[in-house]
Amino acid sequence: MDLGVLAGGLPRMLAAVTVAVMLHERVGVMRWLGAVVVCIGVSCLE
Amino acid sequence: MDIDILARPLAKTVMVMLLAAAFGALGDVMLSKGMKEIGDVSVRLTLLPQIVRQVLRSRAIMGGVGFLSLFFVLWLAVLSWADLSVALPLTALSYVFGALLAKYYLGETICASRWLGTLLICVGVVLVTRSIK
Repeated sequence: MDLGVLAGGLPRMLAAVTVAVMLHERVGVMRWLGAVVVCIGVSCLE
Repeated sequence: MDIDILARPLAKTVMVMLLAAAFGALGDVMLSKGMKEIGDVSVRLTLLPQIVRQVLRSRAIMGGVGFLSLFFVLWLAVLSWADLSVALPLTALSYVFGALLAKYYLGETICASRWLGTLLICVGVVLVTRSIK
């Protein structure tokens, strides 16, 4: 997977990370892992 | 509908997001169908008023707007009880419905990397839902 393809899903992941930090949500390892896997999946589509 | 299911945060979130994602994907598919019927608008931007009239008269596009409105209402509802870090990844389920509808309704060709992406989204959603207490 090249960077150009991966870049498509990164904004979603960065948004999720920023929002979770800003809202002081408890984000466990499983949720981080799931978000990253979803982002990679979205990147495969774009 | 069993009220007990709605009392459980995980079941409630997943059920409503599945419905929202289905509405979102249906809306996008109908918008795509309607705009394909109108044709490539980039080559005739000078006819903008006529294109706007065609868009407003298109049943497919208006239906798409309706489904996307339903998606937005359900999205607002989910945000009233679920963490955004849970709800946001679940919106990607619309890509799964979108891929299925694109193949079986619009007749588009879905390449292997897109099916792989769809599978990864499903795996990711399962991981996120397992993080809900």
